[in-house]
Amino acid sequence: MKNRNGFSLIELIIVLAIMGVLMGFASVGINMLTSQSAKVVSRDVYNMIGSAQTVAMSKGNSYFMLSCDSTGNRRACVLYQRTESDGSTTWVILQEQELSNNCDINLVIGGNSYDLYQTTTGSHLQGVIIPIDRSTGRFQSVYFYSGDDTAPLGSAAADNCTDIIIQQGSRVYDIALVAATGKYYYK
Amino acid sequence: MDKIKNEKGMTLVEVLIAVVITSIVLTTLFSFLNVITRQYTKNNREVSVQNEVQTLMMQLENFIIDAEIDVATVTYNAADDEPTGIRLYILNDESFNVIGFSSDDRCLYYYEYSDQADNHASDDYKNASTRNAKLAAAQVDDDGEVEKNTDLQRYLFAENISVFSPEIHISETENYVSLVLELNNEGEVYRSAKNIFLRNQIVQPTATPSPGASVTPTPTPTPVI
Repeated sequence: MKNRNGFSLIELIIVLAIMGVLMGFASVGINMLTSQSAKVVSRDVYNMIGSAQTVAMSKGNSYFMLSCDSTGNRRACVLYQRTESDGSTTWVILQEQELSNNCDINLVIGGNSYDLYQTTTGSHLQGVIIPIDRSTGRFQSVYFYSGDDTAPLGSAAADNCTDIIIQQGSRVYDIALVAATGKYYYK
Repeated sequence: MDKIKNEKGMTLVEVLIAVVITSIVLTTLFSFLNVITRQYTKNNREVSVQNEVQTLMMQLENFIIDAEIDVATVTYNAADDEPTGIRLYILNDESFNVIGFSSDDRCLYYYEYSDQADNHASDDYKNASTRNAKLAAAQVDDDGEVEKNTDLQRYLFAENISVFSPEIHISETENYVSLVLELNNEGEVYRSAKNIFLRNQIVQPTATPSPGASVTPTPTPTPVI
């Protein structure tokens, strides 16, 4: 305890420099981690469209749905309208994927942009349902989600969804949907 | 108490050895991890390429199988004022589908004939020469963009296509289109071939198709019937 010199200035500076470098790495890492969620969400959405198309072309009556409940939880689903033996139909969710809340999802329907949380008019957009043609795999004009999984089709938008834009900060993933061919791709 | 009094700590050499051993172990672990993730992404891409080709094949089959009036191909080369590549025309009573492969950007396009007033069942379309005049009128300009005054609207159908080769076998004895499709996405290649047997008997062709022959589309393209 007799050594009472304490730290020299140089030692302090070195310690601070090391800490600074470490902090820099950490912030870059955190940034990469958080902006990953937009990438993950876009990939989930992309893959789910593919699944919906595959189901549509093999079983028919298949729909791709992006929806958001009142607490803000969003999901991508493959919906299937099953015909029962008595002739009635039931809606089944064949595949479901929860989507992270860390990014914005915008839908372009007939040239208008809709936030999956709020529409431009401030009302709640509960989601969108894209019917897929059985024989051609084409995307048909969309329905809004009614909020009820047992009867999901809400009002018809009478327009096609042309883009699904997933954004987080400067990262933007734009999945373009070509209604005429059923092609979907990253723009 | 004796143990605590040993305040020598570790020597520099000991620390260095420990660091070296740790780093070697970590490097091996991470290299394993790297191999696994690379294999995973490779498999993922392989599966998506296969899925894409099969979906595309089903879509094309659906276009072709119900051909009612005519199926024809036209090859455009660099001299033509069009994207180079082969174009497949499928003419039905009530619709007119054109699928074109552009070797410039390796994309497959679907051309929609947007003239709604036109009746595809009309005699104009059933007669080969008047039909060809209509096809010639509906063309894409040289930068690949569809001009507003033409009747064709172009939509992306598929990307990264390396082979699109429809061969038309329509005669008294045969009635099918043999289609070869290959997709090449960053070295991941998948090829699919199929003979699509048409449901309807196409009108007996007037000319014998010459496979691979380039047909100049202007002034009147002569689709091989």
